[in-house]
Amino acid sequence: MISVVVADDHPLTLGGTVQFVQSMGYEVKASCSHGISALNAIQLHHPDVALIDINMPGMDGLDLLETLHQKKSRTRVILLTMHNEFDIYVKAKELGVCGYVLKEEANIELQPCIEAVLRNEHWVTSNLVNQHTGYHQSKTTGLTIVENKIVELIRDQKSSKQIAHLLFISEKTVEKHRSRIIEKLNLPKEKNALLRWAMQNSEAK
Amino acid sequence: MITLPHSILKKTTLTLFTVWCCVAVMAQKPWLDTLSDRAYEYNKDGKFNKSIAMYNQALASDTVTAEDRVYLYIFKANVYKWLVDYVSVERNLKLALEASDKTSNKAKFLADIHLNLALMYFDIHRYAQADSVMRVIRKNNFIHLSNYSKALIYQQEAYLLFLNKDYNTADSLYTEALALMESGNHCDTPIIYWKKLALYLAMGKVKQAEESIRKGLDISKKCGVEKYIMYILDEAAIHYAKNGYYEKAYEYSHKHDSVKDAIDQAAHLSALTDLEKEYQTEREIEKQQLARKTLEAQSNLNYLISALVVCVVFLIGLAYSWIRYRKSKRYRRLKDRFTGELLNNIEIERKRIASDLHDGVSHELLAVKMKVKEPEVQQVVNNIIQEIRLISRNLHPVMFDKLGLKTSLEQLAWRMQENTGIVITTEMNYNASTHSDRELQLYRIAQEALGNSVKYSDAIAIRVGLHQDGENLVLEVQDNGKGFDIQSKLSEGRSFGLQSIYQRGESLSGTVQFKSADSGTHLIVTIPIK
Repeated sequence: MISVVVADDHPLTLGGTVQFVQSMGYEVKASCSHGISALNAIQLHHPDVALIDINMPGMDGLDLLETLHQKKSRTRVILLTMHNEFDIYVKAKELGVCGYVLKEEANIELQPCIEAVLRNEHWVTSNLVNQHTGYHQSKTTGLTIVENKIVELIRDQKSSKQIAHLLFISEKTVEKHRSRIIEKLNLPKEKNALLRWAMQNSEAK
Repeated sequence: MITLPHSILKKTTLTLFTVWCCVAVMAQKPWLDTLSDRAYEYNKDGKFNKSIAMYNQALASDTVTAEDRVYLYIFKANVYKWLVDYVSVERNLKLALEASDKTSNKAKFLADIHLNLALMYFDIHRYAQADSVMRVIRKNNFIHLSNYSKALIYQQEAYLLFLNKDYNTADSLYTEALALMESGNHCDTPIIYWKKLALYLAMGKVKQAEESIRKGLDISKKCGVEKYIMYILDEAAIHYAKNGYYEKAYEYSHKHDSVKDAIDQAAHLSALTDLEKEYQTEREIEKQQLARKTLEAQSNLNYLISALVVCVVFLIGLAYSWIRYRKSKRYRRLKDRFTGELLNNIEIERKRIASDLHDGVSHELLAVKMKVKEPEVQQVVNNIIQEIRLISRNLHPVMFDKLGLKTSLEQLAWRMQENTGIVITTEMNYNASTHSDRELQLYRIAQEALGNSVKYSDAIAIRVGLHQDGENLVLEVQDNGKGFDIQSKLSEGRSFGLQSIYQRGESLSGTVQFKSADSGTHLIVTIPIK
C-alpha cells in the first residue's frame, strides 16, 4: 500500500488533502501542520510520497525539500502550494522536487501528479506563471507585449537599431523577436512582409 | 741742608700737576691721546694700577716707535707722580731719556724730559740735582721750551736763590718769570706772587709784599681760582708771622679762614646741590624706568589679554562647532536609524498583510471553491484568488528571502510589463548577495522608480539594471520618457515616493543619483555590499 505524509499549516486544506488522498486508496501515515514535525514524520515513516505546502511555520516547504534532498531521502516530494511563480518551481526543481501542484487546481491535478510521481515521472502544473515564455498573450495574434511593441515600432518606420535603442535591448534581440513574430504570424519569408502586415493591422491593435 | 715748610711742599706738588698736563699734551699721535685720556679717567677714579698696566701693555707692543716710548714713559711717570712715588717717576723719566736717544727729535724731547726732571727734583727737595738739571737747560738756552716752562724754571731758580738768601737776584728772577708768564696776566702768576710775597717779607719790604698779595689776589679772583686765593692768604699769614708781623699775620689768617669757610660752604653747598641733582636725576631716571616698565607691563598685559581672549573665543567656537557637529551627527544617526527602523517595520507589516491575504484568505476561498459545484462560481473564486495573489505580491515579493534580489526584480519587471504594456527589460549582472533586508530596500527603490516611470513618464520602455561595481551594488532604473524636474518635485511636498527613494538610499548608507531630461529619467543607486 502506498504510504503518504501530508503537511499543511492550514487545517481546512490539510483535512481536505488527507481526505482526498485516502479516497484515492493511499495510506496517510501522518498529517502535520508544522515544518519540523513534517520532517520528523517523513524521516520516521519513509513514505512513498510527501505532500508538502510551501508556507509553513518552523520550516517551509523548500527548506524541508532541501533537507530531504541532502539526506538522499527516497520519499518523492510533491509541493502543494498557492505559489504559481515559475521561479519558485525552478528553485524547487533544483532541490529535487518530483511534483508541483497548485492548490486551486488540486481537485483536478493532484491525482495525475501522484500517479506520475509514483511512476518516477516529473509532474508540474500547467498554470505556472512564466515570464520567460510570456503570459499575457494577445488573444488574436498570440504575440507577447514586447513583440506587440516591436510591431508597433516597425509600423512607425523604425529601424532595428532604433527599436533596440528605444527598448533598451540589443539589435540582435530585436532581430530574434522579428523572426519569432514572423513565425507566429505565419508571414511569407519576403522583404517587408512584417512592415506591410503591421501597417494593415494598425487598427486591429 | 735746607728744610722747607710742609705747606710749601704740598702747594708745589699741586701746582706741578698743571705743569705736567701742559708738558704731556704736546704734539703726539691720536692713539696716544686716547690712551692718556683713558689714563686720566682712571686716575681721577684712583685706578692708577689700571693706567700703569695699560701703559705697560702699550710699551710691550712690537709696533711702538721710539718716539711713542718716550711719550709712554713720560705718561707713566705722570701716573707715579699722582701716587707720589718719585723713585718710579725718576726711573720712568730716565727711561724716556734713554728712548729719546733713538729718535730724530732728540733735542726737543731732551728739553721736555729735563724740564720734568727739574720740576720733580724741586718737588722732592733734591735742589742740588734740580740745580744741575736746570743748568743743563739753561746751557741749552731753554731750547724747545715755551715761555711758560721757562717761567716755571725761573721761579724755581728764584726760589733756590731765595733759600740761599740771595734776595735781590731772586727778586729780579721772579720778575723775569712773571714777565715770561704772558705779561703777568696768566692765571698761574699767583704761584709767583705768593713766592714773591715770602721774599719781600724776608727782605722786610712790607709794601711790596702787600702789592704782591693784591696783584695775586686780583688775578686769582679774575681767573676764578679760589684755590690760589686761599694759598696766597695762607702764605701771607705764615710769612707775616715768620717775620714778626703778627697783626698782619692774624689779619690774613682770619681772611684765609673766612675765605676757606666760604669756599668750604660753597663746596659743601655745591656738593649738596650736586647730590640733590644726582638724586633728582636718579629719581627722574627711576621714574622714567618705572613708567616704561609699567607701560611695558601694561602692553604685555594687553597682549596677553588679547591673546587670551582670542584663544578663549577660538576654543569656544571650536567647542561650539564640535558640539553642533556631534549633535547633528547624532541627530543624523538617529534619523537614519529611525528611518531604517521605520522602513523595516513597514516591510514587516506589509509582509504580514501579504501573508494573511495569501495564506489566510486564499485558503478560505479554496475551501469555498471545494464546496461549490458550479464551474462558473469556481472560476470566479479562482479569479478572486488570482486577484489576492496580485495584491499580496505587490505588498511583498513572494519568498524574497529564497529567491533573492535578482529573481525578485525580474519578476517585478515582468509583472509590471504584463500589467502596463510598457516594455520593461532587465540587465542583471549580480550573483553575490547582501543582507536580505538591504536587498529588499533596494527592491523597494526599484519598485517605486518603476511605478513612477510607468505612471508619469509616457515611456516606451524601461530598463532595470543591477550590477556589482567593486565593493558596491548598483541599481539602475532608466526610462525613455519625458522626464521631470526633480528639485521642484521634491520641494512640492507631495512626492512621498520620490523622497522614500532618497530615504531608503540613505538608510543603506548609499548614494542616490537622479538624472532627468527630455530624453528620459535615469536613477542610479549605489550601496555598499558589506
